Amino acid sequence: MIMTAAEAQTHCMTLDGVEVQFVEGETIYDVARRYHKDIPTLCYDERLEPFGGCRMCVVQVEGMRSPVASCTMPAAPDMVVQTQTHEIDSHRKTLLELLISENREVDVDPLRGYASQELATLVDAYDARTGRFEGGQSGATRDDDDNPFILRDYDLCISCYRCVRVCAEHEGDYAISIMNRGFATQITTEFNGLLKDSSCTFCGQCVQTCPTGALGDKKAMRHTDTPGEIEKTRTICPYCGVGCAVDLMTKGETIVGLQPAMDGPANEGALCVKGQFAYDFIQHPDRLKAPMVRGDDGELHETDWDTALDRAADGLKRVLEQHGRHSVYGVASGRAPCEAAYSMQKFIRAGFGTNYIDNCSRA
Amino acid sequence: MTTPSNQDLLERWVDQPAPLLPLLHALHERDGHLSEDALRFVGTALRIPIADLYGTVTFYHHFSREPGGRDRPRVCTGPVCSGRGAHRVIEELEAAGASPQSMPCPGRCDQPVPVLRGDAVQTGASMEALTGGPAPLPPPALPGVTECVFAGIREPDRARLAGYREGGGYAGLERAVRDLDPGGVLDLIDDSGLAGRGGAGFPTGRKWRAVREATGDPKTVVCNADEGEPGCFKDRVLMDYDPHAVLEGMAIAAYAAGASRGFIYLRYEYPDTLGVLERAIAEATEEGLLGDSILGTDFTFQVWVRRGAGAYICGEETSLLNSLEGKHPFPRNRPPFPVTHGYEDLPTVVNNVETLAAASHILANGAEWYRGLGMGDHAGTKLISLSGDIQRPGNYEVPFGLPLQTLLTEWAGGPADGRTVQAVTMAGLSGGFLAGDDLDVILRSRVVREVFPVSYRHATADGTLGGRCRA
Repeated sequence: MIMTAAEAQTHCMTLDGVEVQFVEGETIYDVARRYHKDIPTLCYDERLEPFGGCRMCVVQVEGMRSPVASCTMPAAPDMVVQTQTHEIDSHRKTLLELLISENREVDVDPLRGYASQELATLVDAYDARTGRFEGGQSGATRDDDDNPFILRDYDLCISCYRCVRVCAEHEGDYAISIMNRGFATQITTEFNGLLKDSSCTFCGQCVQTCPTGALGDKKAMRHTDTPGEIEKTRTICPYCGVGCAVDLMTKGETIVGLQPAMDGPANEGALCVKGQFAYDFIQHPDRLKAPMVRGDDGELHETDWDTALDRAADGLKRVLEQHGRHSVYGVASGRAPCEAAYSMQKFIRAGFGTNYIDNCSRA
Repeated sequence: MTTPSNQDLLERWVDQPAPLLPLLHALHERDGHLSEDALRFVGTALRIPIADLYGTVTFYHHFSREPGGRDRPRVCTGPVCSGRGAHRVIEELEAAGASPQSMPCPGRCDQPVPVLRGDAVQTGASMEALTGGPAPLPPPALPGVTECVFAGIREPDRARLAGYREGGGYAGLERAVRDLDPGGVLDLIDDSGLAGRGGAGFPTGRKWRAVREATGDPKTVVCNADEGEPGCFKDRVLMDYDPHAVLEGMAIAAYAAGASRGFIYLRYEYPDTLGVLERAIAEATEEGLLGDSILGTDFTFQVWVRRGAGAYICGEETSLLNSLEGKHPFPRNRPPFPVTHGYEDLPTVVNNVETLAAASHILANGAEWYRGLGMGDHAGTKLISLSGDIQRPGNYEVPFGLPLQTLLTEWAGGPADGRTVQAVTMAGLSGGFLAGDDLDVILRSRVVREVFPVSYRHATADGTLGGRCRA
């Protein structure tokens, strides 16, 4: 039988008493996930390099003295792994008790961010609200950072560094890092300043990966007290041609926020500042819903499309007659699809006879 | 002398290996702190994102970000010094208007209380008593005891190349490169039973062999001189009085493992040691014992010293490697291990100072000789830093197999008159305490972990003995 390269590298290991297969390069956690094992994590984001910081994913490996972090331990042939034992559960519970001992609160509003419920969910699953390690606090909330998008509530930070890693590994922005150590550890920007003075692009990826709500979506949080259950509707961001999948969050008829779709084929959870935060226009009172033309009184008045288009055509013709074909310059919207962009350039080139045509995506 | 510009300092370091730490130290020394301007310059010059660089700099507690901060006195508030007047020294310095800050153990537990100001270290139990001076030499060995790494350390002029060679120094390296091939050196080290003296006890020969067999070039030997475990001050005395033994050990390791570059990662708190090591490297290079064509062969090995900046975790080998590379000094996940993915992700030997110094003596005197230094079935020796309420604190080289009580009472003179040993803490803060019947242990190497009660299972025989005694 001829084997493919992938098959040739397949090995066997024992996972919770059952023989399973894996390929070289997989971690224990990767294998366990494929076999639907419920291993808890906090510092893990599948888009990022495994970090091994939170130790929630510890498993017992036969022959190893201490439990190992499954997210960073490569699977090895004939390894015998237990993902859930009394001892492992007890370790995880203790870790959670330690983590929340430094936090002002555990329960945060889900509008803070996509992953914001991870800590609270695990704390409940492991019955870890015991107050066993009350004492020192770490992380100082940056109330002074009054940017309109990202809440920096570091009292709730557990130093998993998902924010720092997503900013570096996924976005390539390197806007934030980790300063000091021990209890003084703090997520920081260059020289511990404000986000607006750093290389932050306000893409909001740090917010969405934060498992505790230490980073929060300030715009969504305005709706914390809006009554109603949060409902998510999958849609596509309308801003540019990439086609990022997003979940629009509503309470009743009100749009309360937007989160990236982690399984979006074009974006895999990523968004830019516009896609993440610039959705206000949808329900803004100033939003245009019908064409408007300026009347003799100098004010804009609602009208129908035929009237408006005739009016625009008259104006453009007049400009062309009086000032020549190069007096017209067209800028197509980056939000328009290819077909519309094509029509636009055709309209300018063939209609007016000028090459003065561009697209706002180039700006 | 004109003050060097940012550009001068950059040009001094930019083409050197592992340039970040020395460049930061140069700016820190020039300005008395690390200014925003200086860090922005470094970030741009070495292409490090400025937020990353800021985070990394703040990780080290001896890099000051405040003007004048480098020369602010730092006072040890480690476990021994806290009981020997550290807080009085701090109060006195405060009263004198000096704004002191506390620091973790800087490795002078036999001379409490150390105060660090810039590159000057003084010790004393009160502000008035503060004096400078060299590290105390180890107490003389007891009659009938044969030492290994301390064998020549009390000879005058041992720290200079001429003195070291007079005492038979570099005979081990000569034997390695002239009489043995790398495999022969590896076999000899295996036979000696030498294991890592930094605490983990990994067999040294196996580590060197793993690097030799790993693919990837150039390979590196790193001497871990970031002795940071509170109560540990053994490596300092080795480097101060016998630096060539350490360099010779590095060269032997490099020859055996196939490495061409070496670093000594020295803890910040040993500023005098930095000068000793740099002088020794210059002497050895001049004499063809380091550098190109060592001893007339085609073996090439170059060594650089890199100074840490105050971070306990950098004594852990993968944090140390990240620190050397200019990264945030977090530990790496293992596997892969440094023997295949070490400095710059290439095969790297990381050994403790004492391990490397022992290798020099083993090459010169043979594996059998080294094994024979232990008592009974135990092989080899171990340096122990002894401090606290004991008559003669200091560094002792004990044969493995020596009862702890013998060390405390016969070697170190026992506790102060009219007192008894109440407890002993082993292997620094993570070693737990020994008390009562547990004090009747034998100092041995890897066995210790297996026979100790669970709570002491990390205790090895290489740490501090901070005996707290009572009347």
